[in-house]
Amino acid sequence: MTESKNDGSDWIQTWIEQQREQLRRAGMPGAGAASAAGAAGVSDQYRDLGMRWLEAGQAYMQGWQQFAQRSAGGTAAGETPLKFGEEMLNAWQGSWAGAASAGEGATRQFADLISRLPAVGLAREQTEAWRELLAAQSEYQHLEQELRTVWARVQTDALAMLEAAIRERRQSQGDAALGIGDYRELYNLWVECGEKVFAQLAHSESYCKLQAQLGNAAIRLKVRQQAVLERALKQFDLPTRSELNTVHKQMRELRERIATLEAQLAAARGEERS
Amino acid sequence: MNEFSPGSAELAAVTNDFMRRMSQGLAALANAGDVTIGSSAKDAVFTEDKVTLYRYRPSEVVAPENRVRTPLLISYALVNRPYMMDLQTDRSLIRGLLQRGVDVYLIDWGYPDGADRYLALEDYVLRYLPHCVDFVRQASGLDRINLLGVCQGGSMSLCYAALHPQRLRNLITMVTPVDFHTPENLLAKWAKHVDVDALVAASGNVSGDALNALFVSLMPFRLNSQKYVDLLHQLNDPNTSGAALENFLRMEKWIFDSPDQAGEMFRQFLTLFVQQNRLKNGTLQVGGRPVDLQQITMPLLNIYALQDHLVPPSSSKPLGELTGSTDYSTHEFQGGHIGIYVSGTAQRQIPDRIAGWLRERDAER
Repeated sequence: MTESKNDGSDWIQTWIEQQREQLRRAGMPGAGAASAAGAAGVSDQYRDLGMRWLEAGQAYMQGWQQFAQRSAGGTAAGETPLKFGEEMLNAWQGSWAGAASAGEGATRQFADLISRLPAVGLAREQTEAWRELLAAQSEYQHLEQELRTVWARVQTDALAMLEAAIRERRQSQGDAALGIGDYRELYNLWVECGEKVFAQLAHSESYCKLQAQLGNAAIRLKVRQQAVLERALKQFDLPTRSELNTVHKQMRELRERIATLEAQLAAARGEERS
Repeated sequence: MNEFSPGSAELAAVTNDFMRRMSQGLAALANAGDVTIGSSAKDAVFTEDKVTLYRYRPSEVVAPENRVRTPLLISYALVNRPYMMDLQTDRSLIRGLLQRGVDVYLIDWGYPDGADRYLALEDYVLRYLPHCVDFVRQASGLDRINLLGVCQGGSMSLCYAALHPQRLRNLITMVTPVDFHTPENLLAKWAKHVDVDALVAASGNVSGDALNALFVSLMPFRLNSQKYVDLLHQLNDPNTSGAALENFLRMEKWIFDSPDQAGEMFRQFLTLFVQQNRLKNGTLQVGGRPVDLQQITMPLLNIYALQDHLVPPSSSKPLGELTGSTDYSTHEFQGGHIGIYVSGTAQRQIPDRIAGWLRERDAER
């Protein structure tokens, strides 16, 4: 077991706060789904590009400011270009931030538009298949994010329960006590609290429903993926799962018929003998 | 845990110590070799499709007069592999039974693949299981044999026993779910809103990996994290033997060695047993034949584990009221769903209880 000095420095509370901070970061709305969501990904790239331009702009403004200071030969004269530079920088930053959000909005609008347009023309069937796939993916991601949020809440509640448990221990052991002897003990207590919180949630109707909804959404997504894939396989004259299923079903039916015929034959032979 | 706020030097120290122990544990783990599974000698005596029936070689140390004359056929669950019954020399229900003079047969259902997606409940209950029973009856020259059903294999055994009571002398059920709608049954609660028809239509067979993830998520903190941290800590302990590590790795192998489930069978089991609770309600049919548990009139021993989180005792206990057996016994085991096979207590209790119960009823012939 890990030993630690019981010198009153509250490393336990520090650990709990660190976990909380990590959860806060992980629990930011959309943080978990950002990489998966196309629109969010685009907007991240856009923002990144903006930041690079901003850095370049800052360097340029600093250079210009230094030049102005040297030219004016004093601080007072330098204030004007500095202020001017700041304003420019703010405007620059603002325009990129606006452009980023506009880009994000445009992407979302475009995706929304595509999803509402009726499929027409030569590629109607393909378009519809892809549109259904995108809708299924969007539904799945939405529910996945919802479940992630619930799990994050389990961890937050587990930390609160852990804190309460430690407080209780301290009270029973005396004011100077830390309540926990070492890291391993803290970890085990955290696991215990986590399981308690999760067990309570896991049995609730709302959680059972949410988990099943996510599972059902995953199934719908898989069905849509299969439809798109099978369409592609057919283009190359490759066998699909659907075709194999038909063959297996036929084999099973034939096998059952043979078994029935064999039983009838055996019964008939028995009758002949008797 | 890479960032430490100012003033958290103590936390950094304990974290470093913790991580050092973890690293040492990992190094010890890297030196562990492969593990072997199974301890008792057996022979494959019958096969059909992917199903194999094994007969374990009788223990030579048991005198003929001490043997249980009626052979015992074990029907394991479709989920996970049956070698759990004979994991290693000192953790083997089968070895324990052999040492007590029981003649043991075991059904290995195999690993279903894509060609087996339409295997249904009737294939298991009206074809494979009866064929194995008939083989053992023929091989032993007895009209009736003993059947032991484990978990889902127990549910199937109950169906078989209700449909063919004349072929069984005694029936034993181990951690067998009967009532799926008890408040403690978390798996059934989770399955309640799942669109099983759509699942099987989309997936065909249901992947063993998906089932593993499901089982682990029942206790996510313990099963995803704590047991591995415990292991790494134990490996730092000079008193921990290499055997303990091997035991752990063997269990890991068993836990995650999960066959895919034949799609149609899975669909039927989840819909009829779990969602609709038909075995308990008396409305189950297999291949068009009604399964009436009142038809189970042979002696019946129901063994369940009090800390079972997969098949809670409340799910197994109702069997006593549903069966038509007038010779109904129970055995409560202090442990969990897995501990009932592999724990030290189980090695002492379970084979004794089963062999003793069978012997008492063997002499009554």
